[in-house]
Amino acid sequence: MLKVKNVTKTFRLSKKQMKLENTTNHHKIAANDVSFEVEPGEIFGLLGPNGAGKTTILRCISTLIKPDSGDVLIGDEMISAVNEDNKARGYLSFLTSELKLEDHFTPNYLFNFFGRLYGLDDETIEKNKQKLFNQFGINEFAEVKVSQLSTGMKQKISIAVSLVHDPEIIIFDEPTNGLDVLTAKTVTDYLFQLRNEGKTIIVSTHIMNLAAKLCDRIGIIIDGKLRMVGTLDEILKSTNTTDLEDAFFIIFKQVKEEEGGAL
Amino acid sequence: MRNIWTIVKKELTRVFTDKGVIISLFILPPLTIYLIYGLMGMSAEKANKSANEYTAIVYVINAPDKISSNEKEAASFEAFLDENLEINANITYEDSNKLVEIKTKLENEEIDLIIEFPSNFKETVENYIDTLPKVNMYYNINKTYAENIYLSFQNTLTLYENKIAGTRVDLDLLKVFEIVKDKTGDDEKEKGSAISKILPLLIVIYLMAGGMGIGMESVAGEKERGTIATLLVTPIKRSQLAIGKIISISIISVLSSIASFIGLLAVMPSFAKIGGDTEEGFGKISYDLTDYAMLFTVMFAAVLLFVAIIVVVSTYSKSVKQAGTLVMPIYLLVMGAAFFNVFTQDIPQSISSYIIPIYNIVLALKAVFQFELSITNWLFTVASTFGYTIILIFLIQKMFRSEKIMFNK
Ligand SMILES: Nc1ncnc2c1ncn2[C@@H]1O[C@H](COP(=O)(O)OP(=O)(O)OP(=O)(O)O)[C@@H](O)[C@H]1O
Ligand SMILES: [Mg+2]
Repeated sequence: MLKVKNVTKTFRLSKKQMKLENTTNHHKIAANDVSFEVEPGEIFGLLGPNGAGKTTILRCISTLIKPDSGDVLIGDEMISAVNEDNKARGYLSFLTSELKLEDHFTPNYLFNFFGRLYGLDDETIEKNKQKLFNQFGINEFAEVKVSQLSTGMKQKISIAVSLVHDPEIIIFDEPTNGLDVLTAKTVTDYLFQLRNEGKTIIVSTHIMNLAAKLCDRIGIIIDGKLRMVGTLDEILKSTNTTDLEDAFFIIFKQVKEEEGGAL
Repeated sequence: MRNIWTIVKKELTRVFTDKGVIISLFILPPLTIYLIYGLMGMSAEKANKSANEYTAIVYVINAPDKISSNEKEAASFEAFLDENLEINANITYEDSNKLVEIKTKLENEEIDLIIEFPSNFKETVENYIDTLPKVNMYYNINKTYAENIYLSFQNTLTLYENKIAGTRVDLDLLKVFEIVKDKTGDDEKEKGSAISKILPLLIVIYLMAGGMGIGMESVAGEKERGTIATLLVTPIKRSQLAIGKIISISIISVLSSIASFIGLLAVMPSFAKIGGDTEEGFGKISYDLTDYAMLFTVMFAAVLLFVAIIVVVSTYSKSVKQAGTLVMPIYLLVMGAAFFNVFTQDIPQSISSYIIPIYNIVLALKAVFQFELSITNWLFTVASTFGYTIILIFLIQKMFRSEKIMFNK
């Protein structure tokens, strides 16, 4: 169970960033009063263009940054990821291609290392390792330095290591980013499997097809605001379209018209 | 505690499974220290040997005759020199009227030394006149062995003074004359020869350099590569992560310094040879256990402070490159403090000098090498350095908790 309640996050922009974003405003509201819920056994997708605020929201959930206001509640106990971040971290896992592993080490070493940081005993670590290494075919590379492995294998190891503590909640920023079709399929298949095991899963993506295929419910985010939340069918119905991409453009157009700006 | 240890173990594993890092941290520094100072020691020994073979050209003005008092006699200066001088010298005896001409020769570096007795030396000494006669010694520092020759003659003159004093009944008047040293030539040269002054500089450079590479890698590098974020989503506390990093970098830095220290120990005996200016000094300068203990503790405190400084910069930076850019001015500042010390002659003894961060380290190192570090000043150096380090550790922990610093794009 994951509850995002009125999360707002503002960044102060440096001069360089202001230029890059082509704005004279010193502040950027990356997440603006965002609320949604994700149930166990569900994959929720944040869909939005570049710079919409997807990563910012996922970082707030995963305790890497603190929202200016609002709260994120986690699990049956409703632990606040904002106020009890250390405790919350034990229940969740944040996966992204931005979070890397130190590639000087072997998968085996890294798995044990992170297992210990999550406070697990050796037995549990070993049990989880068997399961995940089998799942992703890591066993034969268990003692090879990560630096010597392919990008796809690195990504699989990354996922395996992030799941060392068998977390309730899995947060995945751009799950198939930079992966070939085969590796991407391994990953999405595994996400389905985790969903069927009853995990609470939230992913972000700007790829319409992926959102349509992978997610049970989709939240469309534009300029830091959640514009529409629902199942694929609900979104298509309310926009009178048959295709998620068309639906997205209609919503995007509405937003820009409301703001009085051109496309 | 377990988390901190897990981090420390990981960092140490990282370093000790990397051959390149092992060589650059633990093998190269002591080796270069050993080679540089070993070579310097060797060439100093060689210089000393050829100094012994050199025949000094010396002029003595108004050399006194036999001096007698109370029916006891001291031999003439000439006879005394023949008997007591320990170096080879070609000595010419002249009157005062030749002095100007001879001084020109000295300035032209044709001769090595002039000893000038006052013309009334014998009378003054024999009659116990109150004012001590002045014996002037002139030498040109630009000449290769001038300092050595001067010191040999100064020793001989002191012996001569004792001899004359021996003729006296009145033992209160042991001081018979005063030796006035008058050297010409470039003074910087003499300072340059005292290599002991450069050693603190070198040590400081090694100590800081030892922690710099891994210090920048271990935080800024992890930020740059995105591996620290992976740690930040685990339940480890920010402060534990920070402490783990500091401890491991310190351990590696200290080990690297111990390696350098061993190189230093191996080369200390020949270093003493370089430091000693006189023949007498050769091989006689030796550091005792207290000196080594003070040296080591100052080095230890210095390493921890340098590590803390480097980690602050490294944590603040977005990339190793930026950390390098930011740490450079600090490194130069440290080197500046050390350089400044090379060219200052005397060692201040006031406590206030020994609480100035970094400067006090260089000062204490220099003082140890010249046997002038008092226990109090040592204590203040070490204690204040630990104090600064603790302040920086608090700062680092604060920085680790700041998302602006840990997630700046
Ligand atoms: N640490 C930060 N400092 C300043 N601005 C930031 C920071 N992080 C994000 N931003 C800004 O906030 C906005 C939202 O960024 P975010 O990374 O959340 O977007 P995104 O939806 O993940 O985009 P993408 O698809 O490109 O990953 C962007 O304009 C971005 O420049
Ligand atoms: Mg993003």
